[in-house]
Amino acid sequence: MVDLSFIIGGPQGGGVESAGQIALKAFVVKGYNVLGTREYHSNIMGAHSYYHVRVRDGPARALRTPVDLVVAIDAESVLTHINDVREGGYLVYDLDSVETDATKIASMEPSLRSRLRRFFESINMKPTVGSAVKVLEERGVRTVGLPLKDMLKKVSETLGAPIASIAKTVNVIGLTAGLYTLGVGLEYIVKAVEAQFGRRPKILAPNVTAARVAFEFMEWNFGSMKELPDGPHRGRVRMVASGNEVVAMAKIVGGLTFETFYPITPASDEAFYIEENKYVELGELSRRLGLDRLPIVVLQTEDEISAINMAIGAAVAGARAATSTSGPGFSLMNEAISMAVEMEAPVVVTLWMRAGPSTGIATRTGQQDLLHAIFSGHGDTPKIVVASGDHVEAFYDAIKAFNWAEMFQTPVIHLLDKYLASTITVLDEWDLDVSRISINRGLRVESPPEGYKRYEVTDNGISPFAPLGTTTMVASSLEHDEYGFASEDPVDREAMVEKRLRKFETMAKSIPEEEKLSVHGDPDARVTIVSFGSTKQPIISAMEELEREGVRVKFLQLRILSPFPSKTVSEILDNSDLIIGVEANSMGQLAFLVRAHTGIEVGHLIQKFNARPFYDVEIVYGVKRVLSEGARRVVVSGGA
Amino acid sequence: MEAVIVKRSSGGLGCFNCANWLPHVHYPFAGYCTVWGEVTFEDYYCSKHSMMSVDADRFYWCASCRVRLTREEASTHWVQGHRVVRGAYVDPDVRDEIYEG
Repeated sequence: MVDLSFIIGGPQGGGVESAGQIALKAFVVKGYNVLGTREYHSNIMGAHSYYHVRVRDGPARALRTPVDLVVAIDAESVLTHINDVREGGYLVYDLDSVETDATKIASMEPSLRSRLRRFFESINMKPTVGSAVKVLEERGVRTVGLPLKDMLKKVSETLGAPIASIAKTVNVIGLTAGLYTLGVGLEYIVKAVEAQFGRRPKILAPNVTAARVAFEFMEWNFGSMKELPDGPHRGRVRMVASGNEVVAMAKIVGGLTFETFYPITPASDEAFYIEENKYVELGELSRRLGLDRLPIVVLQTEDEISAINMAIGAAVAGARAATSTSGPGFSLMNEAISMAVEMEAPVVVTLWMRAGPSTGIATRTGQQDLLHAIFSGHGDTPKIVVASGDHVEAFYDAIKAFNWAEMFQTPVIHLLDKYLASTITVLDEWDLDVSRISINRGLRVESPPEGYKRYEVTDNGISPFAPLGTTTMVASSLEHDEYGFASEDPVDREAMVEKRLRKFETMAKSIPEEEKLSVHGDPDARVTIVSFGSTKQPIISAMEELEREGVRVKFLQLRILSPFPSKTVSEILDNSDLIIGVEANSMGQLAFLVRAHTGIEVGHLIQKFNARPFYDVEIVYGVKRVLSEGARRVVVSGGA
Repeated sequence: MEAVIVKRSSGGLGCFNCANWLPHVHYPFAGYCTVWGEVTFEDYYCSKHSMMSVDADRFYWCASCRVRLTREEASTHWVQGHRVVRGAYVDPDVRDEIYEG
């Protein structure tokens, strides 16, 4: 069985992103499943960032530490990841950095610097890279020092030309040396470099040369490489995509015509992707319109308030409209969410959660906006909140979100997070199969009859939807009568509140139960993990490991959080002896919801709120602590 | 054509202490020579070498702290033994590698 983990660390802007992607591609070419995410600092440039990768011949569901390899492109990376590499693993580092002292690294977090100083003081060593290398060697880690400067010179001399993109070449040197230790041959690395830079010949040549120079160095010093056998998917064409990209693809094929955004991590990349791929083929319509292709409107607005208001405007005018943001931006959108409920505007808000409160840690992950999403907007604001567990679910949910928004004429909040946003995985064609889902635009009236009532009171609460502009109508934030005209009449008021509530009941009845939740693992297991969102795959990975150790657990994954599937959740949890919540927040927000809707207490929580994603090994650890000690709360803290 | 850049430092002089050289923002062993318009390494040397000093009233870059400095600040960093230069070289492809915060 092949199961490898590694980290590539360096300064943000210093080539870490490219190195990570090249590494992923090399393993995909070799036929393996991959999962990789980037951890980067919010200072934009210079602070430590790293790419964390898992490679398996089976499904690569979760990241983990300790890893088999740390490639440290700079001194800070060696020191930051001193505890992340396993015995028998490898550290690849820059030989010229050995004298570098942690106390002199300007970009290092002061707290980490202090921890390192205390650690090295405790073993009577200076807090230098050289000391770290020594410590790691004593722990049984194999270390590979690279003369990076000389190797870069050799690349330059080989090319016979100066290298402009130093960061991109240094990273490939370090990465190639690292991949050599894992048994990835030069052929695969070159293919991955070509896949990464193939469209940019000026960058491609230095990087291919850098890979060759590094590989020759490793062969010269360590002999012939022990080749990792090809994986089970060798020779197959597969897609490598991030969560941001998958959601963007889904929106495009799901009929999006209008997307707004104000730049914010980790949402922006989704809008950028749509912008880059915004032309859609018109098919039969092309003859009528005299156009082959039509662009989706992607608009960067002046702020988030404008972003959602424009999206609402587009939605009531009949466009498939969405906006994309994260916690701080969503806070600004709250008033408009309320208006969208009042207007019955079919708008989709893609909410990529990150580590709050406030700006918090802007470029790190968390699941802290669940309650914020559900209770967003003042007044009674029934709405749909759907949380995706992985890339594949995110793809289908993004399309369903549009369907639900239009079927129920309500805002739909698609809840995702930074971990999914920046995690890259490998997908097969059938994973993202558009034929598995149809587009449902709800009860629409393209030519409204005379006397058309936009907010007609109906049994299921849903009124026929005519796009604004097709007839005279009013859509505003004010309470209204059936025509949309502002009304403070108590009878009108009650009728509209009841209508919106009935619509909420209709949502609950219409969405199939299997789309609201999933049960993974042994359905008869007496221990139940309850969770939502991106913890899904780490939990399933942990369950696989627990099962190998004879621990039977099932996993209740909640996907629709509003309207809450109370009855089914109650039935499942009533049949459990032990309920363990897994959440990337400190307040147990899902546990709160479960208690509120079912009266059932989630008695044990495994939580992570250091703004790094859950590792499967942490969930295994947490479940064992709960089972062995009855721990009520286990907080796990992996990640640098 | 006569070779103009010698690929080793000479008598304690090299790109590393040349006023015409901008070390790479992350990997300061390489950098950009503003005279020749090329990327060179810290231990290269050429006849156009001009010793780095902090005297002119302008902005400087501390490669040790990765921070831009005024002349007064630069003088302090210089005295403390930091690597003070006139500026930093930023990769032309750095946009590919960074994300907004």
